[in-house]
Amino acid sequence: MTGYIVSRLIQTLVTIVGISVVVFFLARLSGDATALLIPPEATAEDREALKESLGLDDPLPVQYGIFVKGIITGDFGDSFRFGEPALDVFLDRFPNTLKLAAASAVVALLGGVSVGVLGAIRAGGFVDRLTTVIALLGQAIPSFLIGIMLILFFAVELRWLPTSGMAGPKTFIMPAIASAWYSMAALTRMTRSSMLDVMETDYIRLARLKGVPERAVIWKHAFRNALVPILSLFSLQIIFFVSGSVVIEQIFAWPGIGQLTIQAIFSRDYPLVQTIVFVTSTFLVLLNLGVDLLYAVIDPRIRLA
Amino acid sequence: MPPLLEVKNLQTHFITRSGVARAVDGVTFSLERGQTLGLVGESGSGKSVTCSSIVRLLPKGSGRIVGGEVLFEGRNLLDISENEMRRIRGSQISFVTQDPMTSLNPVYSIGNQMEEPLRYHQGMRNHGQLHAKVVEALTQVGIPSPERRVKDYPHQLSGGQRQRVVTAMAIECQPSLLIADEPTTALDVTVQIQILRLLKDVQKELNLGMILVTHDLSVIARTCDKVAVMYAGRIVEEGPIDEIFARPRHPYTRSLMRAIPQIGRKEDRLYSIPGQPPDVRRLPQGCPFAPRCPDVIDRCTHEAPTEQFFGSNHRARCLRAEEMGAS
Repeated sequence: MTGYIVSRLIQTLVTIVGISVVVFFLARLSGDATALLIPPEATAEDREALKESLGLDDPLPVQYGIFVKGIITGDFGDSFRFGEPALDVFLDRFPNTLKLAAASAVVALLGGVSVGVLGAIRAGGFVDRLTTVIALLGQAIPSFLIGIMLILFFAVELRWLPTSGMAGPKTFIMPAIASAWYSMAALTRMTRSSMLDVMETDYIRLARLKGVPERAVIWKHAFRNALVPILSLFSLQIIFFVSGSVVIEQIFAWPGIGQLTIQAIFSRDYPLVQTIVFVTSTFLVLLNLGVDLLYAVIDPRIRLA
Repeated sequence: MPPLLEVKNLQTHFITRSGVARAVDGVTFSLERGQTLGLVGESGSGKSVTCSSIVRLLPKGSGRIVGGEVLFEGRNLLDISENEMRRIRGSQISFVTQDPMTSLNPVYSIGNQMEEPLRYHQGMRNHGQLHAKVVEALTQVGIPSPERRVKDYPHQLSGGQRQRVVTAMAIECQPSLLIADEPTTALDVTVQIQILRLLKDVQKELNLGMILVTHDLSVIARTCDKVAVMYAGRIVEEGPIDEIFARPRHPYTRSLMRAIPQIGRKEDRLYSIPGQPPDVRRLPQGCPFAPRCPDVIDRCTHEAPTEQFFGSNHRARCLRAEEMGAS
């Protein structure tokens, strides 16, 4: 177990270092930041002066060094566009994205797993066929359409829910469902097939031969074995939730980081882009580490290997 | 007192797209406590389906018991509710399954899995009590240092040890019937003998009725009191072990015996029964073994053989059974 944790920790650290390199150079590949910050008629001297003031005249390795030092001290530099510390600009929005991500993850996981298990234990029956069709639709219908339909039905027609904005628990319902929709469908299909595989095994048969009640056969014996592939898929789906969806934010006027990211990239706001990508990626890497540790808890073969 | 188990004209069919498969087609036998019945036959002859039918655990959807009776201590198991049936499984009727490598749940410890029959059938909740019972059962099946094995996971045990664990789990609740479905097929030859000996010991100790499914006649000879030979979903011959080995009445039984290689018998090639077992979805008219039978006569291809009795407990389903015994 200790060996497993140590190796995962080292991998995580290496990944974070890798992210810092990629983030730094990708931002600089997007073009010259000063071109957008200065009027076209500005002189060459003005340009140089601006570059110097932003620290962009230093050689790249030096700039990278400053960036890494900033990561450690929590100083990501000031946003070119907003003139405030980039981290503050980012942290102003990130919690909103995280809250929606958590709500979406819960909807996707609970919905996907329960419908998937139901489909698997009633395999071939009416419920199973119905859920398979719904899951297929879930993966085929784009989330913006779902979002608009939800607004039309629950906000405009029934007037049960507010159309948009972030204020109170009610406002989470529609954006969470719309952004969880695709993941829920994928998780439903994964849960169903993973459970069906497990239900065919000899140990499920032996559990039944021992007289274990069917509910315990499903939830104790089968589900825990089916869980590892479900979690793998889920940890991939979380990426979409945490990095924020521009489409969902646009439809529901959600003050998340999706919009901010696009704006930062278009205005070549290096410090802000670096902050957003680096912090979000690191957060996801740590989340993945958590999932890896969860595998070890679920499956003793991983824990004791 | 009724016999421990009496199976009467059991019929189990599988409904498939290409027709109805009569996997078990009128099987009748009985078993007393302390007795071991060997069930032999090729793959697909219906041995395993017969055993699954006794506890009503057929593959979901397609398999169905369509007729007959399974009288366990006089009570017809086909009439009771699913919940009553579940309470019998693992407490009064236990199974030792075929492949110990895949029969234990990989994510739960040996102890956890062994506690289940006690929890579900005896309502035992006390941790100390459960632990003591599990250790006792593991000791009984000859697992070394059982105290430590309780915390182990299946992948940390060898195949032979896992089969011992499965056996321990089967006898924890003191069943009266033990069904061992090819318990040694997946094991090394040296381990096979140990497991057979274990099953035999356990049976004597608890005075169990035991059904031993196998396709290996030499296993039967070593462990059973009586034998039932199955072919195409039916018992084609049944009788006491010495009777069957001394005077087999059915050509199929005789062929199976010829297929056992013997040291000292000089043969160029090993004997095997020609052809394949018939498709139980399309059984031929007449005797199903006729196309492969070395002693086939014209009548066999259109006249279905009925059971003939020889003495009180030897029966065979062959038109020529009478003359077979004489030769």
